[in-house]
Amino acid sequence: MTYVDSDCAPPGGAEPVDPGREEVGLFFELRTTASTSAIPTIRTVAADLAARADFDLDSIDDLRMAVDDLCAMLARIAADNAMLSCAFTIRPERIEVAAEVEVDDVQDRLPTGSFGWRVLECLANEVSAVAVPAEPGRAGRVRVTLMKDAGR
Amino acid sequence: MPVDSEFPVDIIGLRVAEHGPDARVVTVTGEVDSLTAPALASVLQEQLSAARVVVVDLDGVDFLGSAGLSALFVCNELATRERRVLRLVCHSRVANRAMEATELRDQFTFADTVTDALTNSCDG
Repeated sequence: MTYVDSDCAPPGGAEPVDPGREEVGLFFELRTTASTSAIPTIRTVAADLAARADFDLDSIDDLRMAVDDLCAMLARIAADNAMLSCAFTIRPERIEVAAEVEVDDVQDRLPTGSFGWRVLECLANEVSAVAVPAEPGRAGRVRVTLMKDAGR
Repeated sequence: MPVDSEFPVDIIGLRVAEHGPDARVVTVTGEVDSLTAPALASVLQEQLSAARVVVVDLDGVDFLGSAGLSALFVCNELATRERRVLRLVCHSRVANRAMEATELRDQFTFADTVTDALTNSCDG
């Protein structure tokens, strides 16, 4: 699965990435059942990646909590038997997370009004959500992306 | 507690101790996330209906997610509404960071130790 930055940007939101400044990043993807039971492992991987990328302690905790929060919000809206995908791109001084899940109906599915979303906005440096409408042969999806700096 | 698979991932410890007829100490250990927060909320609600003072000892918490924060927040509101006292004791670095980063720390009342929490509560 490919994640394209511009595809994830909210309307009129994040600035386009300058291709000249795009660093090569280490990429990880976890693909799990969209179940809350998978989340402790996903957030532990997030914290491990942040620790290895030399994030400060607070930023490691923040990323662990942000990933927990965003996966829980996606698991809650997932269609029956859906898979949850959570991808990490490790860049110098920051980690980008893109998580998505298949939903039955993308209408009103964006979790942006919830308590969890407000928490996410506090924890991450950038966060956005998009609904991807169903296409022939593929269910609609909700995708949340966030970016976390190595230290505040 | 029920989870939607057999995978045993809900790692939380909840212990309730009575301190006289009107005070309880709930000691929380492990991970408070969307799997385990409902158990915490239900224990706290139960104790708030039984005692006037409930102290929540979070020192042994290894993870406090937004679901856990939400449970604490809701129980804190309940305590205020019912004229009960909910007081937190928290020297867990991750739990303190969670409350700080989400700007929820000011919502709660803290005591340095469980003894302090029980003593001060008797005054008020």
